[in-house]
Amino acid sequence: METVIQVQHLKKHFGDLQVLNDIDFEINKGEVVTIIGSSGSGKSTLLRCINLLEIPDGGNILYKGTDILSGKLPLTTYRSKVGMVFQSFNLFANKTVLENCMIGQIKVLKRSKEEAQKIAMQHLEEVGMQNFADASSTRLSGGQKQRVAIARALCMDPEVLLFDEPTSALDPEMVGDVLEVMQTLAKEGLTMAIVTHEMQFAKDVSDRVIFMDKGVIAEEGTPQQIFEKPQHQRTKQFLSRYFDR
Amino acid sequence: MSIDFGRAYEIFIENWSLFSYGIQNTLLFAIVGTVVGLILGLITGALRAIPEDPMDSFPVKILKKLARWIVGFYVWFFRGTPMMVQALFFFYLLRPILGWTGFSAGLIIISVNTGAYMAEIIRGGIQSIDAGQSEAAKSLGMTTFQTMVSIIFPQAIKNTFPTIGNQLIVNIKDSCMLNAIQVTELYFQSSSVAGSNMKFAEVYFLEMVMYLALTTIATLILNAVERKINKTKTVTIKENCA
Repeated sequence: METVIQVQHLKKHFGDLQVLNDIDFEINKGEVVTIIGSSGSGKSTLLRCINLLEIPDGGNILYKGTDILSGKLPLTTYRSKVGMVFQSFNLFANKTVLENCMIGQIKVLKRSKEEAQKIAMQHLEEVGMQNFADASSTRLSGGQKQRVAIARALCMDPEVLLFDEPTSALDPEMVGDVLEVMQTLAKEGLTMAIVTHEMQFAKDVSDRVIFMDKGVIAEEGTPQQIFEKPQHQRTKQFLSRYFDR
Repeated sequence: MSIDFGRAYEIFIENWSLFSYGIQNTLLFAIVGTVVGLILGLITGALRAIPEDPMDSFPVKILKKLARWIVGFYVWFFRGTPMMVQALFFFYLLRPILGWTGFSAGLIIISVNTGAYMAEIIRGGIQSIDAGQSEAAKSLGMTTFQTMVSIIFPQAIKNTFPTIGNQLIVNIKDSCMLNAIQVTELYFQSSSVAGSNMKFAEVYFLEMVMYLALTTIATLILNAVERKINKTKTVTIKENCA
């Protein structure tokens, strides 16, 4: 199996707080990896480091074998291949839904306007937002915004898509729509790394689950291993809050 | 203490060609000063607002620091001294080298002066935009420059438009200081008319009415533009039937 992203000995601290401490893991092609853990365990920081929105203090991140911190691969090229979906959507407020999906294609991938529009419409259809193409991005509900954000990321033909708590800012009623889209993408074989608090979803969709605690990977395994036979005491504690109710 | 309105009206008609020439120049200086000042403000404001990126190479870091220092000095100097003194100083200082007229010196001074105010307005506008906007642009692989031009500037300009527009109003009035370097704007023209008629109150009354007319029209236009850019596109959203 081809490894898309390989993280080696990753370290990150904010001030005195060691957020990530010697993290090792990889994302393989076609794999869905979910990262779970309590707030402050470093999940989001890990994801943001992979896209270099946060700069690691130590360790390496390899993209298909190339160290992205070495400068051998232009940062913009790398980022265009590693998509990101944010908790707070971050749709461009000065653009329509369609323009949100086109701008990266035109500016970064140098696609023509016609081609970009065609691809944008395909992905908007995929997430069920094609009828909102001309709507202002600020006028949508949270769930709609997040589906557009997913379409925007898909338009770049990413090798891997990172989801940073994509449903945490949504009304409970909207969560289902977004998870449904993500489930479809997983089935289609898109490589994804997802930070989430939706345990049932993580259980259903993942090939591999990573449990993080206090800046380290405490446990890693298949959904069956993590959710049914967790080995680590902290994993058991954490999961009991979700499932023993 | 009285104003002879009849006489004022006569003076207005008799000297209309002088006044209208002054109005044209006042508007020219105000508009050029505001537009060029805005462009200068976008560049300098952005230079000041761009945060240090740990991924920058050493020379880029030095350049960014230097740029920030130069912009800081620029804003400090041009906001901290009167435009009239700036005009006189730079006009005479650079005349031997550039051989420029008061007219071209005036256009440059008002632009550079406005740019210093715009830099602060734009910096505030940029800093008020959610960091998620540029993070999203970065995550697509857009460069800092592309992000600024396509995402950040349009929003910063929209958010600060009332303040930017205010600079046009200020410039309509403050361009009168350029009379010091012989720019034939409305104040300069009015003063010559007043001097030749010896009717000071009447002429300055006329001058005030003309300035008020200019600033009122400018305000109305700015309000209309503001309404237009604040109007979100209204589209009929078809419900998804799929």
